[in-house]
Amino acid sequence: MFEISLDRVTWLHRVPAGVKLAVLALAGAAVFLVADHRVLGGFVAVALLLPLSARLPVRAVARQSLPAAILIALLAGFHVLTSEPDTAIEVSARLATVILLAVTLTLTTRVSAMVEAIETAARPLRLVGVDPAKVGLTLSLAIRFIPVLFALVSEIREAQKARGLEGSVVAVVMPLLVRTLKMADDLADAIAARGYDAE
Amino acid sequence: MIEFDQVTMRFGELTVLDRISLSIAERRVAVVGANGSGKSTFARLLNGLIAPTDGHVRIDGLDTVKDARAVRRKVGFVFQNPDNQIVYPLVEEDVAFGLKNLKLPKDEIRTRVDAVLARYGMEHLRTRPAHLLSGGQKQMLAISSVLVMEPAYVVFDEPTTLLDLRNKRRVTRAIAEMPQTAVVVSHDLEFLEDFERVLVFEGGGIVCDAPPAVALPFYRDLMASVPDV
Repeated sequence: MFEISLDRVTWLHRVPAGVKLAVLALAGAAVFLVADHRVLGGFVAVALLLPLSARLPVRAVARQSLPAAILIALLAGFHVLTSEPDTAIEVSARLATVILLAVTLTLTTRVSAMVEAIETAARPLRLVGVDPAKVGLTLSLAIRFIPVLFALVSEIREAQKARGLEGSVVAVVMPLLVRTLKMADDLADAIAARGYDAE
Repeated sequence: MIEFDQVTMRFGELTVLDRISLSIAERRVAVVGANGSGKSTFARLLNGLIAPTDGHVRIDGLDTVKDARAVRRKVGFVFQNPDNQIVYPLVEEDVAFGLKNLKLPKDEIRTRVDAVLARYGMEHLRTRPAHLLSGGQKQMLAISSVLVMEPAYVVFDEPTTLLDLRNKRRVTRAIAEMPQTAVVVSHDLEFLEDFERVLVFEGGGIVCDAPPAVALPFYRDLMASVPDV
């Protein structure tokens, strides 16, 4: 299940999306520039305290962080086995910081606010021919269609299972591809019908 | 007033509509026909989603090709599958999408979104992710997202096909009560009985253009006469 901007207002919800995105970008860069374990520990602690200070449900934060947490654990194990435990600690701390901050951002920021902030930040890209509105629309569509595509995959897998084709990757991928392309076509029509003008 | 002037639509070698000419001034117009009869193409021509191969489609005098932007402000379009037309993840964000495209001030966007959500009893869903809505709620969201733009005409392409009976009634009531002119493509003949005019499409042409009392029995007979494949 995807939580998208939990419906409550905390101090973190009130921080402008642009500021939160900038903090995420800066913190994400800074955490990769330090190797001191105490500083890295500080980053992780702040990243943990932020969602708690905003009283975000621990379950929601945990649910969104779980896939990344599994990946971090695997990476840490890999580094313990192949290099040094110090490297495992550094990699884990860096990734945990970025993931926790990103989860906090998505749980406290409306997609429309994020899109507006990104469109504003992307304005200078007009100079190289990039349309910021298209960047924003692409982002919102990506977020919107992640659960739709998951549902589509599940529906196709069920249908193929009913036909005894549960082991066939092709039986899932081909209809998924066809329906995704059809969906993209319909979506393009729907966006045009609602007055969107691609520049 | 909607006007089709000798409109032909071809996709490659296939002629989907052949020299259609008609005027529509009624408020409730239904379009029926077998699959592949050209009715969805007819609907898509109405707000310039596709351009005719030959001829002209005009909405209140505006050409759907030359004045495409103005036509799209006048003609809203509700598609069969709401999942393929919801753009933003949250209900209120999606309703606001079209208004943002019109570059309206934020206050007006807020007022109009509030009004349309209240009108269709969706206020409690305003911050709900769209993917968590039921099929009926998604279709009502799609309709709200179009009606919030206050078009003069709304085209519905099989709006009740994917809905259960309760949600079908909800959508048909919303269509019946809206003040705009509605052109509805549908296979649900019961829903079309109160319409003013029914266009029956067959083989790329309109084979019957009459009130429901005449056109619907004609369509039933036509479908009964088609041999099984």
